[in-house]
Amino acid sequence: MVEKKTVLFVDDDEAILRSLGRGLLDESYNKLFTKSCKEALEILKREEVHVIVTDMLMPEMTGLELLRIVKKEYPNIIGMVLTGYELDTELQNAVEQGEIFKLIPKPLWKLGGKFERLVRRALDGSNLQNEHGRSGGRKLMECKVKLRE
Amino acid sequence: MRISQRLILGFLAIAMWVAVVGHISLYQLNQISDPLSNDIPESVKSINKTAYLDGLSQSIRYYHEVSTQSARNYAFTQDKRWKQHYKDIEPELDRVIKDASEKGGEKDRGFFSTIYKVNHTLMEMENKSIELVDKGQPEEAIKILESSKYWDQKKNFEQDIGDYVSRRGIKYDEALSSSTRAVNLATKQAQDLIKTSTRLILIFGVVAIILAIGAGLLISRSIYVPLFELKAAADEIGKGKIDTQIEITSNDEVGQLASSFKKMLNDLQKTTTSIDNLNLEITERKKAEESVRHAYEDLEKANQEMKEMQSQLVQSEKLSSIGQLAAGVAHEMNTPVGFVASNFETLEKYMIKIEKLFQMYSELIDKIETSDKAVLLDKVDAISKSRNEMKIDFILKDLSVLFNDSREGIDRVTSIVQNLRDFSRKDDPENFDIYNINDGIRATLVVVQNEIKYDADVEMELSEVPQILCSTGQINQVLLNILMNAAQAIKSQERDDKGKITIRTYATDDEVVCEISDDGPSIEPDKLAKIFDPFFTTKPVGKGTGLGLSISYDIIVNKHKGALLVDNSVGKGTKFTIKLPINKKETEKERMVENNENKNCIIRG
Repeated sequence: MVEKKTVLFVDDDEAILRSLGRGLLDESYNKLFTKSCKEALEILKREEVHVIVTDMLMPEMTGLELLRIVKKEYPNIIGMVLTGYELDTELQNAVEQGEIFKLIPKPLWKLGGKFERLVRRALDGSNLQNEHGRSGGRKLMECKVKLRE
Repeated sequence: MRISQRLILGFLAIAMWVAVVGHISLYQLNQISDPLSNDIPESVKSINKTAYLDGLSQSIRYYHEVSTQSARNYAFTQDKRWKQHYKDIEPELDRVIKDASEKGGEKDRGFFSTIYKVNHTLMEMENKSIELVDKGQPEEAIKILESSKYWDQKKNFEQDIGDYVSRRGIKYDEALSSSTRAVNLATKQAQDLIKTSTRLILIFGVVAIILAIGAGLLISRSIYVPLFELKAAADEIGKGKIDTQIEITSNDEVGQLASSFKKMLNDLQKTTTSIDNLNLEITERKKAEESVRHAYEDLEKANQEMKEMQSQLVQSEKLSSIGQLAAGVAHEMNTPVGFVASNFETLEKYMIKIEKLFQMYSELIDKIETSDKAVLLDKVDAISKSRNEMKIDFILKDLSVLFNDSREGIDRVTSIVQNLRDFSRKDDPENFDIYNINDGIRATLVVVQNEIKYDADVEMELSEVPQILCSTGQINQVLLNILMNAAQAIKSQERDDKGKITIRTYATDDEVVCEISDDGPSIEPDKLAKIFDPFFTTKPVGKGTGLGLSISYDIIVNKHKGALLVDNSVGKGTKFTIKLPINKKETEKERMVENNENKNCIIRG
């Protein structure tokens, strides 16, 4: 039986976390929510997480900073960033360099079902990464290319 | 030529003429005087000479007669008186003969020297006879006197003299007649000359008069023509034509007068020119005054426009601040709108699920009477199963949370919109509103929250303060400006920990004070003096207008009669202090309004 995947959502605004939770109510994977980056790092120590979806602007650190820390310790975790500033060059560069799997523009409700699909694909990518180990990175890149297309 | 020279020359010409004429006349007179002065005197002289010699001859005859007779008488009478008489006459005779021999001509001198010798011989004999008489021998004396020698001599003497005298008489007549002839000739010549001279003098006189008149006319003409010209020029100038030209270049006194006149005219022209210039200057000054007045009006207009522009500038600075905030504000609004919208969609899904469950319950109720127990139990199982699958229990529990979340999100958006509208509305500077600075701070923080919250924590120590009368939008603009500056200053340090912005309010007897301090970099001392200057900014180009603090200063100090102070201790950040006066008269009014005031400022922590 396929192991149940886990997605961690990080946002300093709890109302957003709750609305995310409602929106993804029917998704089959596990959903964890936290409003603190520090707490998110604590959770990663306890739980196996496959995908992190984080807000960009937060008081403790930015979503990008969080993902960089995560990437260092858990290279297999796929990071996604929710942002209102899609054109931010730092974020674009981070996407180019593979630090971020995908930028997800806000507001989410405008995306319709796309957000859910994106999270599912990220989880699929996580599968590939896990299956192929170190070589999974290349496959992942190919997957990303496909995604971009 | 000068007039004096000309006059002198004219008179000199006339004088010369007269001199020539005179000279000619004199020459003529000389011609007359030649016979008069030479011929006539000559003849007169010869007459005189002849007459004189004649006289002398007569005297010689006489003295001879007397002296011989005296000597004879003495010899005969021996009377001493005759001797004396002889002695008196004898030298006279001698003298006269000498005289005659000297005065007479060549021939006369020969004659008289002979006479003299003869007389001398006679005198010797006579003197000898006298001596003999004196010796008392008169006979001897008479002998001598009666001697033939003596008589011969005496006769010769008398004969010679007689001849001479008769010859002299003829000569005298000759001289007289020649003299008369000469005089007659001279008189005739003189008469002729006088006639000629008279005619000449008449001619010369007429010529001289004509010359004099001509010269006079010429000279006077040479004087009065330029004088007349000068007079005409003077008349012209008198009529006001001061640019009249004087064409007199002569070298004389009139020329000098003309040149003096010209100089005077020149001076007059200059004076007139300077008067003209003065007039011009006056005109120009009037123009200048006019233009100054225009300029003043323009300036007033410009001032008015500038005031309008300033208010536009204040407005645009405000809009610029809002512009800078826009992205943050959009993000700030995007979040609640985002989750409210998301919740709304979820609510729809919830509704579908609840409706589905309701449908199942309805069907169950419909079947309760007609179906048997087993069928109904199956139905209930299905419902229960669906209820679990659709997570209806969670949904029912979550609904109130969803509504709360959504309401709170909508409130957040409303608050932002409300504050933004308050903030950006154009203020009426004449009508101030009743304002509580604490509310103002809270409202401003809502707007500026997104700019601050990731870089700094805001600590608020707000005391109860009285309401004041002021322009809400303007004071909020100042608060926003100072808060933005503080946030940007902290951000510029790129520090690891978060900065701190402290907002403190309190009231004194007559002022409401708001202190906003940050722990960012302090302002450099050399820039401290300039921070309220317009267009002074330390931010990169495009990041700040440089007007924020200058407009803030204008709002607090000029428009609200308050004070805006900056306290800068190096290394400890910056503190801005806003002091706004409390208008006591308005206190009652404030209280009345306070009770009815609707507070719009909802703060998100």
